[in-house]
Amino acid sequence: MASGDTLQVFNPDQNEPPLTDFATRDSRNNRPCLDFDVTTSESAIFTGFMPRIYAGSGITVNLEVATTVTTGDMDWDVSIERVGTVQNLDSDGFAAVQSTDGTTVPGVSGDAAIIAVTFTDGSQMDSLAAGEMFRIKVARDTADTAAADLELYQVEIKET
Amino acid sequence: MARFFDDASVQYLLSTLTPLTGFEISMACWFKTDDLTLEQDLMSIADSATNNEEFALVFDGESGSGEPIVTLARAGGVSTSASTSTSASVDTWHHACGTWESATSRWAYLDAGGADESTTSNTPTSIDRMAIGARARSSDSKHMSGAIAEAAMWNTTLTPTEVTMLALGLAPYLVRPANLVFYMPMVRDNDVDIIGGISFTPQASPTISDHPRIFHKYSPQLGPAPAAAAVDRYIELMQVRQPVPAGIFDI
Repeated sequence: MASGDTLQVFNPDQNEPPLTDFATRDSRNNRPCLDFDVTTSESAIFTGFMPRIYAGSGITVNLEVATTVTTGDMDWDVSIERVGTVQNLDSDGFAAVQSTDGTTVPGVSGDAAIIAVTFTDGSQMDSLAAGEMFRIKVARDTADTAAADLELYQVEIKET
Repeated sequence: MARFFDDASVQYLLSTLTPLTGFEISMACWFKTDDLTLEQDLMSIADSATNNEEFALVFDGESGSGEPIVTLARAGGVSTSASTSTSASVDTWHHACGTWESATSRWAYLDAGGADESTTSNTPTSIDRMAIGARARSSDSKHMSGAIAEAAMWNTTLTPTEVTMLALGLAPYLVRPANLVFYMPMVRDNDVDIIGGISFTPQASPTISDHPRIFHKYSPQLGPAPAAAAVDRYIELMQVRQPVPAGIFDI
């Protein structure tokens, strides 16, 4: 796998909602999406498998997002939990979040934006390696200023 | 986004069709009421010509015995019902399920618990229409005060284990898909049954609210997204028994 190649793609219906403060299912023009609340930090969790062709260059997580307001900014937090053979399944073990903050929302309601969140290989990715199961958590940091739900349409993980 | 109904404005969804007219029936949905004092129909199928024949899945805040889920069969103006031993809480998502196996067996479940059976014989007839958030009989009543989502119906009697699967959040098409005859996710104002195609007419403009926690079928997508997406979509379509669109395998 070369730099820039797609490793994994997640869509809204693949969300495994946490027990509380979960991003909620919605649609826009019949397109499935997940809504992240303005005031409560909500999250979505996806289970994946790191392809064996991951070359260890780190990953970039691209979030395809939109909203209904045309002013303000968006703050997104993403974290990785390596499962493999090291994570006790009765607990969560996400590494520290990596964030992309302060992205101005698109100037037209319904226009999509791609938010890139980067992870270096190693501890930022919870030391996830090729051929291992993992989970990725996407959350909104409600310190941002967009005064409406943020909508998540797709998550792409690519080799940086 | 789920559908939100204001009983004061007499909001509900009504269809002139019904996926089932008699036994066996299972109905299930998620609900969140903002009023624990009212009797509220979550789903019902009934005779449009009278007030005497119906099958209804009910949240009963008027019972005086807690706030249970009730599985109602009404025939000839006589009602028989099963009522859960457990109660719902206000402004909280709960799962409701009712089964009608025969004239002499109906079960009610709240969050897959509090199960109760009623065996008093009763056979509703002339069932010809359906409502979400109200009773579908000649004079609509028992209007919902709160949100409803993921309404589904099967032409069989779900087992307690299957009811538990639903209450854990599995989407209805993941439970006994071969017998699923009606499923309306109720995301926003998409008031269409994606199994049988039954459409509903909103009455008095119900609104929308946050959706409950639901798990859908998926498969991890590795490598080229379009190929995996096509296979996944095919599996999904086959499970919900819809025709495969032309070009689905075009990659």
